[in-house]
Amino acid sequence: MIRWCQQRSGQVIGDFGCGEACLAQAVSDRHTIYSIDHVAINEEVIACDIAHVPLDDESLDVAIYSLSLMGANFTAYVREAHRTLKLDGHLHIIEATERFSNREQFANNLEQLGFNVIRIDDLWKFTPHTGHQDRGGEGREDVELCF
Amino acid sequence: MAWLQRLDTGEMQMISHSRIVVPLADGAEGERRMRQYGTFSTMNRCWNQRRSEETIGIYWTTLRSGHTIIRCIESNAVGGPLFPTKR
Repeated sequence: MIRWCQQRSGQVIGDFGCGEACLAQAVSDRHTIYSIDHVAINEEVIACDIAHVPLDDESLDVAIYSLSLMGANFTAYVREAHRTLKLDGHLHIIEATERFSNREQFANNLEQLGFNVIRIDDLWKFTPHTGHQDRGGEGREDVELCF
Repeated sequence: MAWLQRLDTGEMQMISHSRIVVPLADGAEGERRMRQYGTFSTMNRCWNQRRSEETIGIYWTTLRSGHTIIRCIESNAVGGPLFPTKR
């Protein structure tokens, strides 16, 4: 994701579950980064429940979940991406490949949450899902993501 | 970000080494380490099984009481799974 961000500039990016906020360290000179996690490792990180982040609707160009879909309610995290992303904003979910028992179903559920899934990759031991916020497809309330 | 630059320039080396095994300490030292650090697997399981509002509520309560969050043990009791260690 650092490399992807380095190839672009001027984006407003939410790093959901940022951990040590390495993304912000690497590309904050090119983008506006909101580093968000349950616990703040430094003053730049917003400590909050990532199911309810203090960002306005349609305020992000990019939402990133890198190994951060942890918690029984992680679908709510992704619903926050749908709320905070602008129309056509990018969603990036990177998880360990071994977590997925049915990644096509995972992608279908993302579509039902209101995203247009454009890529599913195999990257070493990880499976990135890339999508766009699709306002035309408002997220269904009864959909739960599962691996 | 030197590691990322090395990937870009193709500066990579493959090395082989024997498997590194660090045995857990026995006896009192082992118990002390388990109390202080817990296990990553257990902590991971706790995070995955609990809803985020519960996890973060425990974090904040723990931090406000002057503790650091180090240990998470297996329990289903609400508010019980995290065992803080004094700073």
